[in-house]
Amino acid sequence: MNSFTPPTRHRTFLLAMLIAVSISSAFILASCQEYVRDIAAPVDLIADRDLNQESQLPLLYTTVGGAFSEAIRLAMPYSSILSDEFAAANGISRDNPQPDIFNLDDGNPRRELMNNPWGQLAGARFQATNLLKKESLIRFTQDSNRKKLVFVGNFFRANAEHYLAAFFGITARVGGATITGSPFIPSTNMHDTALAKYALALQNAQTPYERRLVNSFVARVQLLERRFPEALAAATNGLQQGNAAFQATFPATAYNRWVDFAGNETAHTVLPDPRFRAYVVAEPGEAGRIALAVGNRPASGRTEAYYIQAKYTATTPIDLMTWQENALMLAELRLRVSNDVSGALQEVNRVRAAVPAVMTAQGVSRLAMRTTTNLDSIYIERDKQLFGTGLRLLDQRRFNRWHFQGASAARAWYFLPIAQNEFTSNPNLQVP
Amino acid sequence: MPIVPLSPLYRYALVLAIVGLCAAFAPSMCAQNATVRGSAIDKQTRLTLAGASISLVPSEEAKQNDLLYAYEGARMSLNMLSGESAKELRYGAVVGRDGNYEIKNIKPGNYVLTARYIGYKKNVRTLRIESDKTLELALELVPDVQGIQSIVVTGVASRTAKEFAEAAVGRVDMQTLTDNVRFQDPLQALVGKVPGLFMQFSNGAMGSGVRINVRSSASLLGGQPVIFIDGVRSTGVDYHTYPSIQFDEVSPLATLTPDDIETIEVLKGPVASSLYGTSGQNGVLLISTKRGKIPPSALLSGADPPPLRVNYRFTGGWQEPSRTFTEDVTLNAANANRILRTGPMALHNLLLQGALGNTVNFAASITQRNEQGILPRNDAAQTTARLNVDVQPVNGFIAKFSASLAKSNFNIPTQNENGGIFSGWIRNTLAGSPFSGKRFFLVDSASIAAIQNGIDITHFMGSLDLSYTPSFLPGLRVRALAGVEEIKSRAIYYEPPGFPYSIDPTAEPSGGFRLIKNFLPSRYNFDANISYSRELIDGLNATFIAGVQGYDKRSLIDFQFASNFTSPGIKAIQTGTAGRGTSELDERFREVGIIARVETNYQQTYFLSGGVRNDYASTIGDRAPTIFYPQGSFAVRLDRIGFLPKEINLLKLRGGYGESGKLPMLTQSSTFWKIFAGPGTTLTGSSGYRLFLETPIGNGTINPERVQELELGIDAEVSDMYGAEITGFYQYSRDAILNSGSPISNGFSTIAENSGRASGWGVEAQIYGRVINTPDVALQLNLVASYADNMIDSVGGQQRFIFERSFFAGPGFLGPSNYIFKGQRRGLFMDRPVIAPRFRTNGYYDWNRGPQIDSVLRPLGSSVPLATGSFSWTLTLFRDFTFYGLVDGGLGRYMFNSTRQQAAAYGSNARFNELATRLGLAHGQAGDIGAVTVDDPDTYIRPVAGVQALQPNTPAYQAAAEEFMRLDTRYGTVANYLEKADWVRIRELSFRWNARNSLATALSLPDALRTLTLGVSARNVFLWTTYSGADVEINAPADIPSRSIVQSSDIWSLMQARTVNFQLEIGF
Repeated sequence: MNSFTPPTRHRTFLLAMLIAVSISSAFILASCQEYVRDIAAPVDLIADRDLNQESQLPLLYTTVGGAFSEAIRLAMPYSSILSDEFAAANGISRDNPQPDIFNLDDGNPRRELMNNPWGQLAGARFQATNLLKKESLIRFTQDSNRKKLVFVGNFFRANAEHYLAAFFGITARVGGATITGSPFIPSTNMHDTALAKYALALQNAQTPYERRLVNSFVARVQLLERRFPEALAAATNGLQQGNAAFQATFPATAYNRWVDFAGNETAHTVLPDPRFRAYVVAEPGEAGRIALAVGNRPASGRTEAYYIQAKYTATTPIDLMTWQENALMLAELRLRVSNDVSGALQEVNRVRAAVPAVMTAQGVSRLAMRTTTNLDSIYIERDKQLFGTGLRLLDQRRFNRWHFQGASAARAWYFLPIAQNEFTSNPNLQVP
Repeated sequence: MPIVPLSPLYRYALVLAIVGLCAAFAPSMCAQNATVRGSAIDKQTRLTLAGASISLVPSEEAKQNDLLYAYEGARMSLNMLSGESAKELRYGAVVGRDGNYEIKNIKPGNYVLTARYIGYKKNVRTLRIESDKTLELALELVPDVQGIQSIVVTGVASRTAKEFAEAAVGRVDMQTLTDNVRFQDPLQALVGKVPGLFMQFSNGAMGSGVRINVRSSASLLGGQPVIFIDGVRSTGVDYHTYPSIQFDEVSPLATLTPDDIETIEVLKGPVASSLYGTSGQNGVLLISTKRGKIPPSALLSGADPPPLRVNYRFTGGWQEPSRTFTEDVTLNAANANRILRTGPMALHNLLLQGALGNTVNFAASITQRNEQGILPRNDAAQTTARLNVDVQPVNGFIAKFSASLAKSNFNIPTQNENGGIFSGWIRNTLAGSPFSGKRFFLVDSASIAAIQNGIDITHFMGSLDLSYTPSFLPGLRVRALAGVEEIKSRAIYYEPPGFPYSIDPTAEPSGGFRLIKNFLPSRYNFDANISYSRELIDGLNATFIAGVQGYDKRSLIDFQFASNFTSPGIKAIQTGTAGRGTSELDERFREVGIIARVETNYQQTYFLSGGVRNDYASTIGDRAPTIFYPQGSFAVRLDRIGFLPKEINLLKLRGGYGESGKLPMLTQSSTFWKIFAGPGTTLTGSSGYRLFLETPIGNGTINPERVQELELGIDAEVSDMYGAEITGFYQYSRDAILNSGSPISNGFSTIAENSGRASGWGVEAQIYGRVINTPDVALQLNLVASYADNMIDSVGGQQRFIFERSFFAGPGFLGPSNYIFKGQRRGLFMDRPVIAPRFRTNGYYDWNRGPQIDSVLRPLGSSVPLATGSFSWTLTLFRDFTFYGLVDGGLGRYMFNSTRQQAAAYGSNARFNELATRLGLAHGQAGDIGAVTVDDPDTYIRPVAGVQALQPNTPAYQAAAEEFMRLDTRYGTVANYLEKADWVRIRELSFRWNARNSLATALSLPDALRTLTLGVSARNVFLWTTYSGADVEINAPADIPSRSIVQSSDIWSLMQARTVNFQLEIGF
């Protein structure tokens, strides 16, 4: 039966259709890929491959610096709680008890608490590395832009490694960290890799300020590693009076996390150690650098007055490196390297003289100049000058002066622990 | 004389002349004077089938029609009924009220006569018509009990009668269902109707989200079926695209009126849905709304078809809690039950169906719906309008236009209790100590009542579906469809100022908070295909299909919030003076697939088909190849081979294999940065924002997850009355896209990888029978059952599980944990169960140390039921009274009763308190444990009056301690409060009286009154369950209910509503 065989003209039509379908299919096949790729970029997302323009460098710098500040704003409050700078405020925050904070304060930090700051610090390092990769992807019109990229990338990558090396540890007393899924790297080794990157940053620094800033960080790293001559050399070329502080800055939408724990409006989870109040009582001019205020929250079961930090509001920057810190490093190093007391005193007094005067009930109050100095007094000077920066933990470790008490003191952590997430996710890292 | 050969031209002229001569004399030469007449009746009941249509088509053309796709044929039937219309050689008639028909003036020849009647199988006869003769033909029709002759979709460009389908296709006759029962959401109507389909409603609040589970949820992480509504690919009101905003998910079909729907077809897996491409891995729902087709019975009243049919339906009633909280769970039960209410429901649906001449059919409907839910401030107001127009300007060309516009307002009080929202009604009335004297525990009732949490949705859908079947080339069909969906929705969460919203008793009244979220998705889809059917050799027919299908989606979301509104009564967001923020979010996606398929059959007995689809999508990795999906299926109609007894009218073996996939997300295939608020440094500057690395970090080689399915089935029907459809399936998923953990020190936490594997298998059955079929009594029974299990084969590399912690569930406990655990079923609850109580040195139960717990995680049970099923009946008495009911149930499911656990934690669980008293642990007893919840003095366990304390160190004390540890709210919590959640529910009951016929004589009703029915229906009538909570089908995870790994957690959840409705329907 062939009644359905189309007549000739239908065969021709079929053939024409077949050709048309084939041609259009070929066209469709070729254009499908185009069609699905041809979507406008979402307004809230930018593909990494679209960030390879020279004109986008300022945005990339903001991103790298911002990631570092993000890590700082999470990690430094914890560092200061672990140190003797801030203490968990028992009895003030009834409706928001934070056992993690109490444990941290007692030198028994929970690894899980570090997940966020650890992740952010690693993220900051990744983003600096990612910026460095752009050097080969961006077509530069000005070599100065290329040098700036290499400077920023290396500077922040070194910073991330320095903070990992200086603040974190694998056990209570063994400092160090991991990078990119590596096995554990002790602090000294990690600091050496950081120094190599600081050196690259120095090579590409284009302003005296950039060079001085890098030198100050090199000085801090070398000081932590107790390589005093190298530290002295770097500090000598570090930030000077008149140089702006290198700071983490906070818009209201990404606020300074200090206010979470110890802000004027919050539950006062942590309070500054009482000695800071004592410093101010002893010498009212200290209020120029140790800002405290009377806690105003009705405390449940707590009748005596207490003081909260008044240094930070939500948008106050955090100092990451200042000429004052550099000066105090110089003072210490002059003592340590050549026992140069007068040189050290000069630096200490330079810092003290720069502390702004404060109005007290007794009138304008300025800090008195010191007539002598030693390592011990520099230790205290640093305590006051670096109040609320999280750096105290490093000094306590360097000077081996600990505040932990009781049976747990022997087991207390001198470092923030490497995050639990890292143990879970990094096969090269074993719980010791 | 030599024969002079005619030139071709002359030959052609001669042929023309002869043909012309014939044509001129045709009327007299070919007298059309034959007649066919007779009656049409139900074969069993012998009742006449007034309104049945009889068509007579020349044999050759009938054969061609068989080959054509059924896409349009079923819809455009008007002109076929008139012998005067376009095709001269077609004849037709309608069976009159007396049960007789007559077709006159038929040209002699071979014909195929087909008798059709709604709900009956067609009766097809081959006839030889001779001139001047009258043929008497009595036609007997048998009911199509299960709709095996109804047309179902079997692929992107394929439709066929269900009796020939090669894959299991679920078909729900919504028209009949909504005639009987009032549904609030089309997805409610699918409960218990299709084997292998299991619905999980987030909670009982109107409009809230639904998780549609199909078969074994083929994809490793599950997923929802793709939904097409009249050809428009809809993803519904996808509220939770960006979570962490205070709105619960909204049902994807919340804006579609169930009464507007004619059918819902369910393609359950890749075997059927493969050619729908990627995303069809968990099936496809195809929803068709009512169109303007006029059933032949409408033609009875006169020679001309009535131009318009008007149908008005009113449904009104109420909804009330289907169950209440009980004191077994919490001593605060009465406190919570007090706030539940009975809410009125009303729905008006006006449907116009008609025709303009022989070329235009139309259906227009308008629906107004108002409801109040069982929770205060839960209400819905909805107006939907729909216009469907079918135009056939010339024979063979059909344009189908569908458009709908729905305006809805839902107010849905917060149910999702995560993220520190303390203002839920239920939480506030349950989560506290019964001894505190409070009725609201966290936030005052006036504050909760003041909160506005509503969504306004304007939803437009439109499609134009063109098809052309040229008359000069039988078998060819060209089709093009374009669909568009636009949603404009605005959600507002508003806490007016002046109310305290804090759990702190000393808190000042808040300054108020207002959050506005605008969601503006646009979606377009298109579909073009060409098919050609022909008979290759005698009896062997083939259809060749080629097509392209595309989808373009863009979703814009912007939201803004502010707090601290200083001027009373003014709520404009710009007047909020604190905590302000705005965000703009965006999502874009395109997908396109090219389809080729060949369908063959030999004598409509042996069927074999195969197809391929090649897909392209925006979210595939840069370096990944395009996606290729094969599909193939077969069927054999054993009943048509001839060796079976003729009582077996259907015995079909079918089988198929298909592949589909699940796409990665955009950020899984490419590395993206998101713009985010962020700090800066003095060196690098800061403008208040920075780029924020999106994780997972992109993987350019990422491929879609690949889902493969094998299906085997058997369909049988005996004596046209009893039948069964049984399908077994096996699904296998590989290359599932998981965000594998990367060492955190890399600087990004996860990277997407193709690493997961899962498999699933199951059996689905549907058994039906019309057990009684007499003129006065008809009883049809239907049994639906399915069993589906699955196994997680791999979650990537050395990983053992993917874990999801659901929500903050109150003091001391972070909510339940579901796992996707290698070697276990999906949706698994796991925990370290308690093993033995520990005692203090004085012998009392050691509350502080808690019981000893197992050292390893134990699988405890899955949230996905192993077996689900339903039983339904339709009893029709005296043709006018219909009783319908459906009972459904499930086995092998577990739910975490966090409501009960929290009750114990607040000292409001009777058994917990009783055991504590017996163990001497209650407040003031010798072993007083103090507050059960740290720092909450309200949670001291009060000694239960009349209960004696046991002596420590006795066997009785030991036994009580062992029971008590299993109520510990802090250790082994999931194990302690996980409950078996098997259930049987009387889901739907209805009674309907077709009063038109009964009252016609008594009240002298005019002929024009075509329909008058009265009915009453109820849903969620009664529930038996092993679960102690308020509802057994609740799915209240912290994340998006339809997507999250966590399922089946009941934390202060609202039970579903029982609805009772009365219905009046009038049709002209």
